[in-house]
Amino acid sequence: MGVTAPMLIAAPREAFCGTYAVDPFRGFYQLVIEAGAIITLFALAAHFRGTEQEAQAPIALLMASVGGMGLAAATDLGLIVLFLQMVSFPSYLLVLLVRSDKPAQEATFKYFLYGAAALAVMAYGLTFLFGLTGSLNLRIIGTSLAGADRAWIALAFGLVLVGYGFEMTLVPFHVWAPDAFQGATAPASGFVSVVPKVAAFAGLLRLLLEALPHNLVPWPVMLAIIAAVTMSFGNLMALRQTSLKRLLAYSSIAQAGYMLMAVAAAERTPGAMPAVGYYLVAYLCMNLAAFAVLAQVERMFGRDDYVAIRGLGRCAPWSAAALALALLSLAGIPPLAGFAGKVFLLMAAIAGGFAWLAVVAALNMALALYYYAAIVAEMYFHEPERTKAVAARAGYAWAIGLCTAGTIAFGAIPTLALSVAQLGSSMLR
Amino acid sequence: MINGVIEWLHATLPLPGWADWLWWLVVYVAASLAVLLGLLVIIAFLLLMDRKVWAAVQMRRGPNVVGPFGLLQSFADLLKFVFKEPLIPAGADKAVFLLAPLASATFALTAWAVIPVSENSWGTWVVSNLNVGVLYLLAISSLGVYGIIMGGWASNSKYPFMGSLRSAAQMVSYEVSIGLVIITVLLCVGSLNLADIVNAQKTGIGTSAGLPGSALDWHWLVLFPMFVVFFISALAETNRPPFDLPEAESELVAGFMVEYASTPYLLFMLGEYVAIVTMCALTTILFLGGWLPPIDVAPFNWVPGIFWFMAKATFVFFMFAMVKAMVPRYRYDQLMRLGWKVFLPLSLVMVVLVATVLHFGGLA
Amino acid sequence: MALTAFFFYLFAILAVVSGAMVITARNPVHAVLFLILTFFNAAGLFVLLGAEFLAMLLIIVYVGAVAVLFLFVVMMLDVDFAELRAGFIKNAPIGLVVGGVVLAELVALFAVYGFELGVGKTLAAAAPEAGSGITNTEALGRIIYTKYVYFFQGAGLVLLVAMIGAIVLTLRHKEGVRRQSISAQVNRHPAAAMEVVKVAPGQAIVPSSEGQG
Repeated sequence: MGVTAPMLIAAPREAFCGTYAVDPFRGFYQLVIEAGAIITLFALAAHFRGTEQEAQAPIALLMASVGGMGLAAATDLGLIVLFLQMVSFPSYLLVLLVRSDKPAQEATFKYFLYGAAALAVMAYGLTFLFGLTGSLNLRIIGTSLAGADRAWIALAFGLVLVGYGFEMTLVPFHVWAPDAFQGATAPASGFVSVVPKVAAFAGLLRLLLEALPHNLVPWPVMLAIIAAVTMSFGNLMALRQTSLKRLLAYSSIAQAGYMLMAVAAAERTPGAMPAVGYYLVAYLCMNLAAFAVLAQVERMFGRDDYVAIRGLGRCAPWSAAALALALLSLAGIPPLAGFAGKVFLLMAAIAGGFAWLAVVAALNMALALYYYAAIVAEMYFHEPERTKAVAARAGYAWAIGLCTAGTIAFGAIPTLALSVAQLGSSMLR
Repeated sequence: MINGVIEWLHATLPLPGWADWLWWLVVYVAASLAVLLGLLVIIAFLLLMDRKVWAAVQMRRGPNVVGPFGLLQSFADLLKFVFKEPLIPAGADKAVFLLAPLASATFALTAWAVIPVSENSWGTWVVSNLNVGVLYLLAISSLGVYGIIMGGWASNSKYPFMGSLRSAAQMVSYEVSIGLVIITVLLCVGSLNLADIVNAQKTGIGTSAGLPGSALDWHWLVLFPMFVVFFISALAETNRPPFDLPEAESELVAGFMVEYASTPYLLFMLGEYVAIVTMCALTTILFLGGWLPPIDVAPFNWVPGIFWFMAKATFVFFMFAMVKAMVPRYRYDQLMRLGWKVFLPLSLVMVVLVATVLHFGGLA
Repeated sequence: MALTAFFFYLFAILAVVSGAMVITARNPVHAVLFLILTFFNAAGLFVLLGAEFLAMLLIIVYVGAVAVLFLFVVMMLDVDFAELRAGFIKNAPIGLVVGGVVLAELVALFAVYGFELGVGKTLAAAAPEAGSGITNTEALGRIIYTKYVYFFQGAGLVLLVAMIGAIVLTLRHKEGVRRQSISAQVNRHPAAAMEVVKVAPGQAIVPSSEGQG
């Protein structure tokens, strides 16, 4: 992180013969990915201490993070394919870390098959871009696409979106997410729900803004529609889940929809990029905190449904408080980070001319409040089934503490993260 | 050399334009046949030598009935194999069963297209002076495994299949270290052409010390650890004892060859011995200076290069035969351990070391 | 040159025919063998193009290593041909649709747009000029280790990840397996391994300690 931070203010330039951008944009996203990796590392280390997976988990985590960081900076189609694979492979591995576990095996298999197919389709789409322009470089593609046929560009974009949609869990490419999140151990689910998503958002933003001028493909509208479908579907499905990990999976699908809203407006308004950046930071804090607490609960009770957290406020007040804060922030209660982030996203959508989308999003946020609040109520207004202390290990405490501090601090003083995100919105073009 | 011959033929016997490729074809076919026949005759005697050495180590006489000192034994064996009845098991996959020995022998013989045996003012004595010669050899030697797998599978029987599984794993494993050893040699030479590799050994430690070109210049001295690794890996790659697990007779009867008889068996055996001789030739080229004389002074450099090449290759074959006679067979896990845990790290380290020395020593 | 044309058609026809045999062969092992033949002919075409380095790599990597493992798996699997065939017919429409779409796209791209937009230039730039004395091994090395070094390293990392993943997923430490430890064997001392016992007549030998195997 120390190395990446100064790059936020460095002037944009390119490296490795134009295949790798060194600009504030990638600096910001790499910083986010690093933060996510470090926080997950605390939880993972605590979760797997003394088991066979103790060494394997951090390696997979490291590799996935390196892949994500590369994706944020790649300006070349070949590198994009490589780094997407590099994010995905270790993620499959993380999901399957407890491999004696049947659900984990099934989850990994689904994840792997979807991943392989989605990334193959995406690579196929990228070959169209190459075929139309004769270049692998995003910027050269952007300038020389103008003469090409719209239909082919739209087709290519659609195919490419499959790959990114898979990483970002956009509907209809989200099918793997609930199973994978439920099957994996909670810290691994947290990681898979955050880092590939951050990387894919960075990659998609770069691709859209550098290679696809909006007058060629109507991608803002396409993305807006997908965003609306994604958030509605995620929230509706989340309403009826009993497994908390599954619930959080659908919730993260909905969150991806919110963020995509600002991506759709990215070219129309300057406020959109910082909004996405800010929300990704907030999302990282909230989601990782929630999954870290779930990891504690899961470790103690061996299950992750409502019963497991019933009365958690009594037997583990700190963990319960952290989970409650994370969930309320995800729901968008002021003054937490999730609230500020949602405001920025809505503002970006309205400024970008998607007022209808903002309305859909606002409705969704109201709807989501129900299931988040239900969990909080379960923790505080019910007697515990069992009075067992949750697993207290220093790693959990660090992970939860850092995330919660982030949620509160960035919520109370949004400019703290927003200014950084603003710095990070200048891209090499 | 071949191009020179073709040009000479064109000059002396010009052909009409539509048939100008005819000389090309004739010369290549003739060269291939010459190499093939020479190789087969030499192998007949090397086979005898193998058995004689083995016998001598065990204080027996070995084959001594057919011809003087048993010199014609291999030809007698050839006749015997050819006149026997070919047997094909009822449950076998007929086409693959017959294809397997054919593939085995053909692939092994194909390798000789690129092996240069000498050089003089006409050029290099080789059928095809490929500039990726080493890679070609590596590719062909990795194909040898197909004959064995196909044979083992098509026999539709337990022992052959076990034998072929072992063999495939073994050959794939040792190919890795052979590849890395070859890379160290290539680093020193800077070319994939086999003739270039030999010529690069004209100068070396000896000449830099002011001596005339001699055996001290060859790669075996500079890259001694790699020479050893290569020799042992070559034994494993060709399924020679002590790594003859695919046909370990005490466990698998005769491994993948159990069901074979007559000419198909002969082809398998031929393929095996050709592969061995190829490895001997490759060792000669990579490490023993190919056709270069052991000391580049008067009586020695009058001798044609091909004599030195054959002498060196025969010496390597003698070493192969001695190993077969003296070393007990490895157990399978020991074989795998040696390949992956000893040779692979060792040759990897050597690649890095050689590259470092060449780079920082200013020799590259 | 007539011979080049002859070999081109030989390799091309064999490649197409054996490619077709891959999917029509009844026996999966035969299918894999035809696949290998296809690789061979592709390598032959590479040689005709003057890309002998690629041809050799194709043989070493695909034929020498990948296809061997492939063959292994197919040979060891107990494939039920009838069932496979039923599945094939069931899924054939989907396969046809996907294949048809891809074919149509490719035909359209070639026929309508003709790849005139610079692909030809890009591809031509990669090849070394004839007669420049640079072998294509060297030319490939020059471009991979300069312009595409980042790709090269990235691909290496991806493969490393895949390798680690495969090992992590399959490695199981079984309890109770006796492994050979060469260093322990070599370092064994005679004093610890054997014992000289004076046997009195009519007495049995009683080992002084157990478990000195």
